[in-house]
Amino acid sequence: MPSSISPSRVWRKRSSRYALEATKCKKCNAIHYPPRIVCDKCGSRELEKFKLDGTGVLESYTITYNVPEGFRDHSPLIFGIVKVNSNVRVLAQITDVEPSELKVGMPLEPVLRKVEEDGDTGMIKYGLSLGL
Amino acid sequence: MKEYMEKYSISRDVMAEWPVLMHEHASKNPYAQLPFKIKKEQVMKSPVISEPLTLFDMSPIGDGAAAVILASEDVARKLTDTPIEIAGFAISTDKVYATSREDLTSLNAVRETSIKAYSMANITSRDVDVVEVGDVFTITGILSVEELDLSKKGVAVKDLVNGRFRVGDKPTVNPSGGLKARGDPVGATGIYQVAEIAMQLGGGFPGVKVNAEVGVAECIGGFGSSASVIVLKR
Repeated sequence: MPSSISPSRVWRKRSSRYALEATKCKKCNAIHYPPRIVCDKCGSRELEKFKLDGTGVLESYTITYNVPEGFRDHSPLIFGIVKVNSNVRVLAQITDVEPSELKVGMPLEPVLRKVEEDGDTGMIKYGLSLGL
Repeated sequence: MKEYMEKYSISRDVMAEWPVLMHEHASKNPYAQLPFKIKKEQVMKSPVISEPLTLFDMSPIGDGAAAVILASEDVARKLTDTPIEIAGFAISTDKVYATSREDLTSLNAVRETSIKAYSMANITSRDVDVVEVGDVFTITGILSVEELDLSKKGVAVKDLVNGRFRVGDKPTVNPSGGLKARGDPVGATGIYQVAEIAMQLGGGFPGVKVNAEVGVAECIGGFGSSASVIVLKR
């Protein structure tokens, strides 16, 4: 069965996905995550790589019960907006936290988790979540 | 939706008034996908999809088709006794990512678009008799009403609870039943909104009837990453 995981895509996105690499505008200092090609604040194309340190604070979250096929044994999934580096917002899956433990303002840090795998012998795709 | 409820101190069960009104209107619309009334308790007991949104806070999936005939004024007058004028229209966009938005309780694209469309049509929000908003979720319907300047920010739900937006109020909101109960066949949605507003203005709408001179159809893409507003006049 063909895999839905694209090795080339996973490779291309590795810095932003696994190392939380953002872009920073040289002109107006705005930081963008996910990385951008054009600054969405001032329109400049002069952007440089900027690594976010990842530890942050939970600003907002939702608990999703209607989970896509293939992820049902992880239901419910928690998604949230986490403020990192004091002013950059990251939308990510929240992991290692029980729904009842979730609290706006709680500290979180980046953790690597398996997202999906292509059977027993195929590719495993990892992703960054934010957890306790 | 959570941010909105928290910001304006609105409890979860009060938000359920929106799908209740949508179904109330749809129950009389022969074009509606879900033409039955519901109670607030049903909304509160329905399966939670992505908390706090329940199944009853989201438009159903469906197929449909809609059509409007566009013509020059003289041709339109030959074809019908009630030609409806497209008096204003505009489209705007906003940031795609929720994390790029300044405020999760605003839909800037809708506000910007409405300002342009109202200006083109030479009206203000106070002139709107009937409106169809794109309530793909309860919260998008609520925010649309506010960003179209039909309620002050944070007040749309309170207005709804106080009995506003029904027939007899200016404006009547989603007499079709909206995306929630009339349906959201995606591609056809924007056209059915315009068609039903045109039918309201022309007097031929088979459901909840509004005596209207000015109508507005609002549609959004994504979570307000794009929005269109069309103003129709009798």
